[in-house]
Amino acid sequence: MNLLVDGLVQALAWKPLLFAVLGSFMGIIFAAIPGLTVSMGIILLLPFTFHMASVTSMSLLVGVFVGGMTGGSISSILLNIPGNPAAIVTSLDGHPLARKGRAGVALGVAFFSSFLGGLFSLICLITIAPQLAEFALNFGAPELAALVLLGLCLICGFAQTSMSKALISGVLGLSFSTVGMDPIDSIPRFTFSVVQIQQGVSFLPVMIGLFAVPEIISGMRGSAVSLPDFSTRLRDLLPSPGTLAGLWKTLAQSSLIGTTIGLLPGTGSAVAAVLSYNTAQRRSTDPESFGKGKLEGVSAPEAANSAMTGGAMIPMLTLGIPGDPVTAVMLGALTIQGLAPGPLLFESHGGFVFSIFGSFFIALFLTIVIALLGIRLFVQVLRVPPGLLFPSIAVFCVIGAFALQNSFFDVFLMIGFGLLGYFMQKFDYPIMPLLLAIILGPVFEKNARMSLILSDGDPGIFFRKPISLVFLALALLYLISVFLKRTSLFRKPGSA
Amino acid sequence: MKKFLLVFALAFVVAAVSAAPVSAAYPTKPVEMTITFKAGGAADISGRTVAKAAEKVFGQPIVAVNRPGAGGTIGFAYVKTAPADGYKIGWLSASILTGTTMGRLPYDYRAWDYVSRLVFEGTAIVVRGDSPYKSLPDLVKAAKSKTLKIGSAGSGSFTRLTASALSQKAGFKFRHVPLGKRRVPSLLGGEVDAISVHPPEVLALHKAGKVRMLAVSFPKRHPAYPKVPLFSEHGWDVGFYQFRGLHVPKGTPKEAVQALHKAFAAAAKDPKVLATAEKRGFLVSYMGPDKFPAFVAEQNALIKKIVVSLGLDKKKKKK
Repeated sequence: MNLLVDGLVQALAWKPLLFAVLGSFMGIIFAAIPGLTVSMGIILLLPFTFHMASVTSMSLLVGVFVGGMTGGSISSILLNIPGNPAAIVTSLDGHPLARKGRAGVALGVAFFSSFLGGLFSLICLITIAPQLAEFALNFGAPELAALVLLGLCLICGFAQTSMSKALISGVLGLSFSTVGMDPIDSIPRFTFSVVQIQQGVSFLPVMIGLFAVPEIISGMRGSAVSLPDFSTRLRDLLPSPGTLAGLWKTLAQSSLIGTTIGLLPGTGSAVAAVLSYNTAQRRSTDPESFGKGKLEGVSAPEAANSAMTGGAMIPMLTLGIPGDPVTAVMLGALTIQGLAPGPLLFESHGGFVFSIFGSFFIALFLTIVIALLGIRLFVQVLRVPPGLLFPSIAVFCVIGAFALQNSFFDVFLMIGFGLLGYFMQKFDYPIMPLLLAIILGPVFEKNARMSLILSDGDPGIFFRKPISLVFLALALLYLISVFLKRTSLFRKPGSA
Repeated sequence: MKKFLLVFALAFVVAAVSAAPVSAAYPTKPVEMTITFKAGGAADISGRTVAKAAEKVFGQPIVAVNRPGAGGTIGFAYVKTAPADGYKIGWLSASILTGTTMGRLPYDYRAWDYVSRLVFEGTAIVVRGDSPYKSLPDLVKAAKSKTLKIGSAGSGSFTRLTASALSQKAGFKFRHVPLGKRRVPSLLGGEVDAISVHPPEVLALHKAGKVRMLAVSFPKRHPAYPKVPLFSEHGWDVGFYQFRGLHVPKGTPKEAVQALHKAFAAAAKDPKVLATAEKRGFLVSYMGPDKFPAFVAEQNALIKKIVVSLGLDKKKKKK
């Protein structure tokens, strides 16, 4: 307990505090502006952290990480454009709420869910980090392959009107995910001898294009829906304690899912958000109302993506294994300071570790304060005339796609997928399956093929491991339940 | 649709970067150094540290820009097609030799001019702390009687080639597992018997006894892990090492190459660079433009031999 207080005191020194404010603020902004992503923010900040003291640079990075997980919900809810992969499913229920004039409530619920999810993962990080890190080592290639397969099955959940259209979209995504150097033998596939295509279809520019470009085109054509006006008084925006209490189940299960996903390298915030959204929907008494503006649909992904932050820091701090791109950067920033994360860091630099916990807590607190104070400002975005709003978003999309890897190829990728997204929306094909398949396809291929290398070609490896068996069973059960539901729906006349 | 195209055309203009004018004295403006791997990785940290130190003598900023993707291929291709005026340079690594010998780039290592070598990085064979193998000969002995699973960053990665070269020198066969980013958790979780990896990734775990570095392929013992023997001490020197240095587009003027050489030779003696090398576990070892091209050619021959013997080159795969 003393260590914890010491850590908090260290993190509250003026310099770390200043950079924590800066980090949280930048995280929110980078995640909230469509086109700019948290990954891009981190890439821009990284060179500066090389010259900072370790406590200060960690305050900054943790601030960006935590702020980024919260900020993505803002543009998801207000503009129907997720600002960050973590927030891709937040728009499903968040934007319908905004259309009903409840944008403020949706934002409030999103912010509080993020805060509570983050807090949960921080508590896990402080209390049982070494045990969780050991637990995560049980997830080998077959377990990850089965988990990702379960994620791919959830594509069915995004079928709005037609299951075949959702599946077409998903298969299209899987096909795109095979482009580039293959993950096992490094053989170029479908590259037409163009060197740039070897890097494959990277999902960040694709995400920026798929979600932003259709909105830009609709906006420019004047077909954007104008939203009803609503009160911007803080008191009217805050969710009531009763509302939050009603969400406790969703919050608890999403925080748990988010922290667990964070522990597993190579999965990421989008997976955490999708899994918890789907879980919330399946366990709800009223699953049909998801996607039409349900608060649980906002709360679940937001709690999960914030909970992922603490989860991802566990293997990074205890074993020196980064769980996602942001923690990879943190690892780099720490080693350059001569603090190599690993089992001995807690013993040799215990005080420092607790200052990271302190910064984490401060970042959570600052993020929710900045976000809540900012709500009144954020919602003004809806009053910006489309003639100004959409061209600015287009500029940010080009800059954002370019800055990720300093590559114009990514800009063309963004625009190409944007046009695809526009026509898909026009013809009622859901976009989410395409994006999910592009994110999950390579992870599945890699882990499935690696499992088979490990087992010398014996597919039994997927069924002998208990964890992988559980995921496979869940995937099968899910598919059966979807099938039964849809066939029973079609039997009732007029309900499908 | 017209409006939409107009918007994107404008967006392009806003995001566009101005073209480089030609000038007489070198350097008159900042130089852009392409780093072919992601921000925050090993190549990025050594590259940025060295570039920062070289600026003092160079007299102009050296701006590091990450162009990652496809195992360095994207960045190397960018430097090849950049104007040969001395203002576009690249931070190369030995991956340029694996990428070209495997046919991932449609030209070989001679497509660039080589300025200088700055650093070496080691490659270690690592087992779990509770593994029965206490030394590299232990592992080799076991590998001769049963097939061990040894992991690396990927099938064409430098760490894999080092492990394969070791197996050829020591006379054993193993099942290679391209673990990618999951190489360390996979070893800890017991999926593989050993991994071939750059030492900084496992140094903290090694010190805590969670893993054991059996031996490292490196020119000399490193002060950060002085007790770990070298491959060569067991008589299995593979002859090639992960090196990083500077290359430029083919045909870059001599004056520019000499100016870069002067600045980076000074950077190799900079105390800050040496301190970072100690912390990050790499070795500063400078070689100028008089010897470096020959060194690259020699390393290329060794690496090509391994790549061909493993059937990783393009011709074999197409068969």
